[in-house]
Formats: sequence, structure tokens, C-alpha cells
Amino acid sequence: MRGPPWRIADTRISVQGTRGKTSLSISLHSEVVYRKKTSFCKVTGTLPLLCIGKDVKILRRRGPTRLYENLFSVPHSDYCVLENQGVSPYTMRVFNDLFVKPQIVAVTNVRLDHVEEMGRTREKIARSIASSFGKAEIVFSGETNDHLNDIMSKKAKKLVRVGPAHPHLPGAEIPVLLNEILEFLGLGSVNIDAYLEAIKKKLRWKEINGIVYFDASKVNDPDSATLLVRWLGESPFIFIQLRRDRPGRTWAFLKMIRERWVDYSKVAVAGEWSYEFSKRVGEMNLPDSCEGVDLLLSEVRRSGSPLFITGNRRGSLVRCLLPRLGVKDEIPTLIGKSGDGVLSLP
Amino acid sequence: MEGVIVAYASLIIALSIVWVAYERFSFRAVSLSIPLLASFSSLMPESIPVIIVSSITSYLAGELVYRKFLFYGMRMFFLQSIISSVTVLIMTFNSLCIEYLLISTLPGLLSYDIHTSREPELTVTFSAIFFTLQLSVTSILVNFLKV
Repeated sequence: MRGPPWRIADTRISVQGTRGKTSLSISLHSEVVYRKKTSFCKVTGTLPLLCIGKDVKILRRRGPTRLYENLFSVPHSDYCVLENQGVSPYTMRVFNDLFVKPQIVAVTNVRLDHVEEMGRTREKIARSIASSFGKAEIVFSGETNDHLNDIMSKKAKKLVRVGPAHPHLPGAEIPVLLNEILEFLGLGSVNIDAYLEAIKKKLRWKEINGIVYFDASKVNDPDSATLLVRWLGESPFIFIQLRRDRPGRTWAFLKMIRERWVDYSKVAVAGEWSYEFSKRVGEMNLPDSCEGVDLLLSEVRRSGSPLFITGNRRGSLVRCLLPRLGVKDEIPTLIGKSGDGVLSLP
Repeated sequence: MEGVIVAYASLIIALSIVWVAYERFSFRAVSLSIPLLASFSSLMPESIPVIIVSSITSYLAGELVYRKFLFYGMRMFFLQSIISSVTVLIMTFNSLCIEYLLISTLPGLLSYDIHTSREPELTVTFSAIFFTLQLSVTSILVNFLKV
């Protein structure tokens, strides 16, 4: 049956928010399938995937991303979990209103990203996200800021505030959201501590060829980047990849560096407006090319600090840099070892 | 001629007010087409029913297509612009003129702004209030100059 998700799945969950949508979507889908229910799941971003049961397919896009890619030919399912790919209040609303009609909305967190479309403050972003709730019966919010939750609750029939399981661990809201949603659906619970341990294992500095680094290139907002740097510890060498079509991100990261939200030893930028950015903060501008990688790595070695990569995953320098560091996109494994309590956590 | 200058001034001032409201108070509830439609209407009052009918027609047709055929984004914008132009053409067929041609897509833009707005009811209300106020003030000044 081909059609929008509201015609194909009985219970529909729309996952929104700034960070962690993919993690929550995949984890939720895995737990549902593990409990012998039929489900399909779609996530977007740099590696768009369609998961039907335990099968995972990469979605090949031809041309620009459109919401019409949410018309599926999949068997009728008990559940579907869909990452709301809208980057503006309008497209978020269209996604929920026309394609999904979710009964449940999960908001992972509210941070400074897509500011051109959503607004330049977290309050405006919260309002933008809330404007897409529509007729959802319940909204689960992993955002810890009460004021932002108050804003969102005005547009929700019912908003459940889910507190984080750990005050400082980035992504700690994800397993708690997962648990709350599963309990609401009457599907039992998860081992939250096991998920937290799995997150901690991922959030560590890595080393290759004498370079200590952490790839946060998918972390596109400075709030999340700040949380990560604080968790990892150290005063890193921060590299920020900028993008021409994301001026709001450039503005947000400039704010982070100018206001020194974290301690750092040095900053290097590449991409559109990198010259203006570096001038404003008195830091290093790199050519947005593979040549920039060599310059960056030699500076990192000279500084002796670990390298923290953030900003954007699309950009010429970062595209050359990540393979050099052995980083590649991996298709997540659904339904991993059930013995360690964590099925899947991409 | 004086009337046209007043209409120009009205347009520039109205756009500036909408811009300031947006920058200072993040107020976005007035469609960008309103200042021009109001200035135009002050010079051609007979266009007011044409503007209202074509706005309503393009909005309703757009909403129907949105729900039934999953039209959104630029498709919706083009559709509403075309419906607006066609409606203006039909309504003014007996008195065709270049002025109507030039503004024929604006009611479609108004409909699109309402469709994409976070709070459509607020956008309609504030747009209507702004249109009425600007039209009233501009018409008074235009007629004052004629006298």
C-alpha cells in the first residue's frame, strides 16, 4: 500500500527537536520491533534511512529533499516512527498535518539551529516547534528548560516533561523519552542505565595517527557542541565547518566563540564567510578544500590539543577530513544484542 | 499625480512600519502584500471587492488542494498566484486595464502568507486591520489633495 504514513500505520509517532531525533527514532523503532509489533521508521539527515521491521534501506534522493519522500510503499503496520524533517515551522506543520497525523509527538530538545527559519532565540524556536503539534494527543518533551516547556505546552493538548536521567551527559534525555513513550504505549520499559552507559562509551575522544579527535560534525548547533565539549573535558582545538546555505548556523557558532561558551585552545574555520568569521574572533581561517586538511592537522599537532570537529558535515574540508580520521557513515544495526539492554543507539 | 505620490508615500511608510514591527517585536502577522494592496485601493477603490474575492478564492482553493492533493510550498504559491490572477481577470473582464494586470497575483501572495503563517487567524485579522487603517488614512489624504 503506497500512501502517507497516516494511512499505513495505526499508531504514529513524530519525532521533533534539535538534536537526537535520529537516535530516538531508531531506538524506539528497534524496541517496538523487538516486542514483536510491526513498525516502520524513517530518519533523515546525511544518511536518510527507511527501516521496515528489521530491514534497513538507504533512501536515495534525486534532487532536492521534499516531503513527498514520505509517501511509502510498505505493509500496513501497527506503528511508525518518523523523524520530522521540516526545518521551518511551515514544513514541520505540513509534515505532521498532511503526511503523518501523529497521535504522539516527541520533542527531544530545543536548541539554536535552523535559526533563519525557526527564530534566533530558543523561545522562538520552541514556539516554531509547538506550532506543528496539531491534533496530537500527547507530546513528550525531553527539553529541561521549564520556560521552553511552558511555551510548548500552550499548543499541546497534553505535554509530559521528561527529566534527564543524568544532569550533564549529552543525549541523556533520549533513553528517558524512549522509556516514557514505550510505557505510554503499554509496551513495557527499557534499561535506562544500559542506554546511558552506551552513550558514555560513544562520547569519548578517539585517536588515530597521533591525532586525538571527536567527530561532532553532525552536531550543528552550539548548545549541543558546548555540552559535548564540557562532557569530553579538555580545552580542545575547535574546527568549525561553515555552509553557505546555513547562515544562521554561522551566526550561532560565531556567538558561541565570541562569548566563549567553552574553553578552547584555538579555533579554525572553513567554508563560506570563514574569513569574516576568523577576523571577528581573531582565529584561523582555512581553505575549504583537502589542502585545508593538511594545514588543520599540522596546527592540531603543534597545539597538542584534541581536535573537536563541529558545524556542518557538508563542506569540502570536512568531507576530506573525516575519511582521513577513519570516520564514515554507518548504517545502524537494529535489534542488537538484547542481553546488554541496548538494542540500537545510532 | 498628487494622489499617486501620496500612495507611494503610504506604501513606503506602511512597509517601514511592518519592517520595524518585525525587527523590534518579531511581529510577523501582516502579509507583505497588504501595503501595496492598500495603496493601490486608495487610488482605485473599485478594486477592493476584486481584491477581497480573489484573496478568498485563492485561499479556499489552495486549502482544498493542500488537503486533497498534498500541495505545499512553492507549488501552493504558484497555484494561489494563478488562481488569484484568473479570478481578477474574470471579475474585471468588462473593464480590463493594465493596473489590474500588475496587481493580479498579489491576492494570491496574501493567501499564501496566510496559508504558511503559524497563526492564520491572527494573520488574517491583523492584515485586515492594517489594510483598513492604511486604506482609510491614504484615501483621506488622496481625497483631501483632490479637493
